[in-house]
Amino acid sequence: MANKLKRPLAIMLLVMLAVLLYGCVAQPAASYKLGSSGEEVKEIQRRLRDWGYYKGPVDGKYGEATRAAVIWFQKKHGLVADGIVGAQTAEKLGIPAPKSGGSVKSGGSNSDLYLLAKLVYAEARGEPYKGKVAVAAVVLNRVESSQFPDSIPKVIYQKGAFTCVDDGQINLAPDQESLDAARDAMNGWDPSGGALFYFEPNKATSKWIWSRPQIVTIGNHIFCA
Amino acid sequence: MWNKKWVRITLISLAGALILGLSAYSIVLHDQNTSLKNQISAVYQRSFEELMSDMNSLQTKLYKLEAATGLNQYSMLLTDVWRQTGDTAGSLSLLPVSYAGTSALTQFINRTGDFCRSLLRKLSLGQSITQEEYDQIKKLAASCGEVIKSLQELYGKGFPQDGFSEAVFIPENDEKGTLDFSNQEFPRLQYDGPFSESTENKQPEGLGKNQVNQQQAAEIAAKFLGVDAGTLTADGECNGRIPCWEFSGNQDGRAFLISVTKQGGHILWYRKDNGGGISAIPTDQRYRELSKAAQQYLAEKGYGESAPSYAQFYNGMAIINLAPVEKDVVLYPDLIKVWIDIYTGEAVGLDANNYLMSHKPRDLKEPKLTAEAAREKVTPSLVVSSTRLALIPLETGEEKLCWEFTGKIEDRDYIIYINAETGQEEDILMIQHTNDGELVM
Repeated sequence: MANKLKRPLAIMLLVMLAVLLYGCVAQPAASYKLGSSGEEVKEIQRRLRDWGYYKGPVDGKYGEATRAAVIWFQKKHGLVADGIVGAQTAEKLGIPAPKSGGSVKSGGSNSDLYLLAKLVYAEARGEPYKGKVAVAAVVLNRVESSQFPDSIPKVIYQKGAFTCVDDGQINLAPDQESLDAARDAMNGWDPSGGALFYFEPNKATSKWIWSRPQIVTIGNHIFCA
Repeated sequence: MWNKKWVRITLISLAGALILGLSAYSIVLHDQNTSLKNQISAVYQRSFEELMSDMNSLQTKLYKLEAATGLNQYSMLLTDVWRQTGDTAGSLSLLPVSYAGTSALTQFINRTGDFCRSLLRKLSLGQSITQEEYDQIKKLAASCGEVIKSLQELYGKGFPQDGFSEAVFIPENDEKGTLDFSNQEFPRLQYDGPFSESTENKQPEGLGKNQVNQQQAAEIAAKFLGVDAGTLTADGECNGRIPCWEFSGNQDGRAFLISVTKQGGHILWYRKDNGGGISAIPTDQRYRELSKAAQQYLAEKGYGESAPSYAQFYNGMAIINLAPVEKDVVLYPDLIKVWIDIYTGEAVGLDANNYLMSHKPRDLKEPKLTAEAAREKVTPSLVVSSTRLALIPLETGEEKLCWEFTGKIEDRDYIIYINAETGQEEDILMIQHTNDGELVM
């Protein structure tokens, strides 16, 4: 009996150890620099060319011209201008690089955007993209409205205004699409047509919400004034 | 026998231990629960007390305004009121109250602040407060008094701690909750500002007269995109401030969404999937190329000449803000956004909302001030890199013809607007360079 258990246990331990070790060790600072070559270098050159930094051939050879372009790119983005594509530069260039810990960036100076993205993720992650932008737009429409508080945090944390604040889902890390939707809404795109509320018709029992003038239906949400 | 006895004893003691354990656990839970409840009700208590004291001090300041005669007192009191209203609305928003019961109070608070800000603006332009505006201030103070009375009554009844049936923000029926201002008469304010009635009810001016039905709209969308109208999927309608017909479809394997206004048959917005990409800033040279592509796109689509103003870069796209140009004047109220795929230079999005809200035939007058005379009004520390005429929208909804001076003070980028008629400094903008591009603040 005891022996039978020991083996799976040992295997489990080994697997756990392997996972742990992988987490610690498997982060080689994969960097591309003078002399590097290959498909990744080609991709680096292609991106640098499309963004205007690189005029040379896309040949997969990391030469002086590529190095100069990388330095220019790094300077423009406030990165260490060493001409080497390390983890940070690779991330900015969108080149697959080993992950270093948590990959989700918090908003930093752009905390409003991040908070809005969290709301979109919590409230509308199953919705079509347009519906996600519309949910973000509702928050911004409230900020602009005289009937609501005057900032994104005040509107989102208004007591009882969004269920995801009460059930804690607001604290989930948003995905890329939610960030994009929040950004599109902040850039002024409003597929909700100026709505102040939205609800799910098959779940909403409130007569009051049904009495609001409806503007548009997107995915599972009805948006209303 | 022995066995049975032992089993019984074991079972009973196990059950006993279980009961003891559960009781202990529930006591801990209960304590935690009580502590959390107390903490939450302390937040409500604090917010409610702050709301009361904020309303009191709002009223005091409004009454003081009535007594003031000096410009310095006016400015200080009006600034105080304006600043305080933001906090007051914030305190109210933390209370568990219903939207139906309190939206009128939030609106009253916001508009009071906005109104006082509009008075500050008048004073700064050398105008004085009219008798009508004095009367409005008096009415606002009186309304504050009524609100304070209701709040104090509730407070006396133990609100918000006891008697607190938590009102929900979106009620089931039309319950207003204990805190109910839905029947209170608040004064209607005559002024122009971001929260004023005139701004909130602004109607689009750039739509034109004719109505288009869904079929006609589909044809307009198809022509705009260069696809066959039969390939579009009708996504219904959107009846917001600018009512429109919506469609979706595929072009070259990429999904798109497009929205056509019911009145006038204009494209309100259009977005095409660009396949994603990186969020990086292109070189200035590449940015100029992308701006040119956006300008060409707008010209092709019939918006005429336009000037790029600022841009952001994300997901392989540049979102470029362009203002139409008429008689060498840059029309900022009609700002149009164009999304350009950085890889291909193709336009993958358009947002004409501002254009359709504001665009109209305008009688653009010759500037009274020359550019040189206007330059004298700008701080000498600005190193000017470009000067042009621009029409800018003000918070009040008005449009002003200004000389626009773009330049630097040390390494910071500014845009300064001098009224081309009066020489007033109408606006100062700063350009912030972020990792996503430029932000105008």
